[in-house]
Amino acid sequence: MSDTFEIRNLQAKVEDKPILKGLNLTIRKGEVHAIMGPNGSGKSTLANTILGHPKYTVTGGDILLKGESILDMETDERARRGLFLAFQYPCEVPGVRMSNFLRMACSARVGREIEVMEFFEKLEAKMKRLEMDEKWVKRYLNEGFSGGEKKRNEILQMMMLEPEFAVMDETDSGLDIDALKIVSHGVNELRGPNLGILIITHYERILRYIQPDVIHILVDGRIVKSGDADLAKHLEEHGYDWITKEVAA
Amino acid sequence: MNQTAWQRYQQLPLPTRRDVDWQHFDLRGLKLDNIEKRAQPVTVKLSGKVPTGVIFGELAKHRDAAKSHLGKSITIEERHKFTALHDALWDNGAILYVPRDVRVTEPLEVTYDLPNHGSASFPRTLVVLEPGAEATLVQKFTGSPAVHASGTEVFVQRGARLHYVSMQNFAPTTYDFTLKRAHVAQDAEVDWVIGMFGGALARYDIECVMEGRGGTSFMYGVGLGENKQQLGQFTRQHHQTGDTTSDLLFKNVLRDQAVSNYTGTIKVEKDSNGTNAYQSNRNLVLSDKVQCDTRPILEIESNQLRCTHGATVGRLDDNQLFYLRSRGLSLTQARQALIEAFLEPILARIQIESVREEFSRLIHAKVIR
Repeated sequence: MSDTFEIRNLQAKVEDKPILKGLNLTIRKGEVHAIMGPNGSGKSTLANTILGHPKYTVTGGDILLKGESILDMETDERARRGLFLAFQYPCEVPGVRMSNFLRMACSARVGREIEVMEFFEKLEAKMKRLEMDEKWVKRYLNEGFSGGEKKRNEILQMMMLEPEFAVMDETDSGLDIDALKIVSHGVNELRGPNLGILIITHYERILRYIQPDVIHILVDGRIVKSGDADLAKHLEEHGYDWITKEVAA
Repeated sequence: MNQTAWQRYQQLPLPTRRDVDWQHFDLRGLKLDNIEKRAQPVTVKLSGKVPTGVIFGELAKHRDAAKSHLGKSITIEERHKFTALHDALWDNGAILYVPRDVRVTEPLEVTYDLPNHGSASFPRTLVVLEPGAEATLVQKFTGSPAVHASGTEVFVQRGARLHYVSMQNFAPTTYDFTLKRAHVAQDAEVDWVIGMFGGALARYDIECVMEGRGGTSFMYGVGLGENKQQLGQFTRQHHQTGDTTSDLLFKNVLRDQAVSNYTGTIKVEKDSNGTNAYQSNRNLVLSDKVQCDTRPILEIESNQLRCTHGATVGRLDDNQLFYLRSRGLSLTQARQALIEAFLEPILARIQIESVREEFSRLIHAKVIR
């Protein structure tokens, strides 16, 4: 129990539209899962619901982090307990400096004020891994960043915060091949017995660089098929049509 | 007492809500009876290293030096009742006079510690920078007078540069009427940052008169309103000459039942081609009960110029809050970070670190709670 992230029969809606219709998933630390699905299948709803975005309402089921339900927890408490979401569209926050923000976030995560020196040493090391220029830390959070820079910044935050379970929402979208390699390299370095990862993606491409242990297919708010890496290849070759037809039948 | 101004004060009617500039304000708490008998002498505290030749002191003690400019900007022609009141009753204040080509490198600071409940105070400030001079002036108004009506006349002559930070943090009972007007000559620059923090009602009229080619003015301001505070900002970018630039940004953070009215006039006179005038007013509203109005007025009589204006009234952005909280920041921390971020462009204009920190402290105390 202490090393699992478990979604049980989750149902969620946006405004009044039901999107997730009974989703089940269990991830153990050390595992990488991928959820693939066509547009509108509920991928982003899942990502946002896990972190408690106020726009999404859970109407049934449960989400358990290390055996404890998180549904009554505020977003920030979920984060402090070790959940992380790499956003599909990280928002720009002009006026908030990267370094100040990250230090606050890291302090919140560990529950104590992190010393400046200690913080910057760690930050510099992580940035080097992601081939990020040190000028970035003086910039405002995501302001004027290119799509690729924003995604890299998400991975930087993930490295700094050291979550126990991370959800990566369409991290590959908007990345050119070089940026994708850098980002994947970063994620692969984080892989290990202390972290469970859920990759949410439309395309198989990122899974060539970050190889998942399990692949799930999400259609109409439910996981309809799970399998190994071959499933992704099959989707890449045949698209989603066959599975939606199979589900409809 | 200046009798002519006093007569004008008595002739001008007390503004009412029918007056478009006053429609949002409640003046019922303002007591003007026997105002001339309630006026208290103004004392100023001065600090900073004053180079030889520079005059920085009490206005009453430097009448001769002041003579050439005093009353040249604030005149009997003023249209507002409270400016006339100030002009009628002021007796002292501060003067900064910097002779030609003298650069005052350290900031000079004047604090008006104004008297208490029931009393009234009418400080005047005169700032003259002769051609090529440079200075940084910090002006602070504190205390709890019932009525405060002040006037500041600024003359920045050819090629001179003034960095000027002014703030008030009156008690929540004070009615504050303030006029600040800067005259900017050829190739001169004035760089203002204004902080409006206290008072029951604070009405500021802030004006730049661009009189010479190549002149530049930066007018930046922050206003904070809490409880039932009333905030009025009436700015005027007056381009009398072409090839001049004025850049203005006023930002307000309002909570509880605060009332705010920003009115920004850009006036470009005939034959003032090559004018650049930018005006922006941004309001961050933290409660449903806030009343916030913003109004640009353009009076433009030249053709070839660049002029932009924009205004927004908004709340904290839900997606930004979610993003910050998804990294573990509490709601309070996230709100604080976003409010600070909103005001950052104003604070960044303040070149004196201690003053910037003081602004920051006041912002924390008033709106980040």
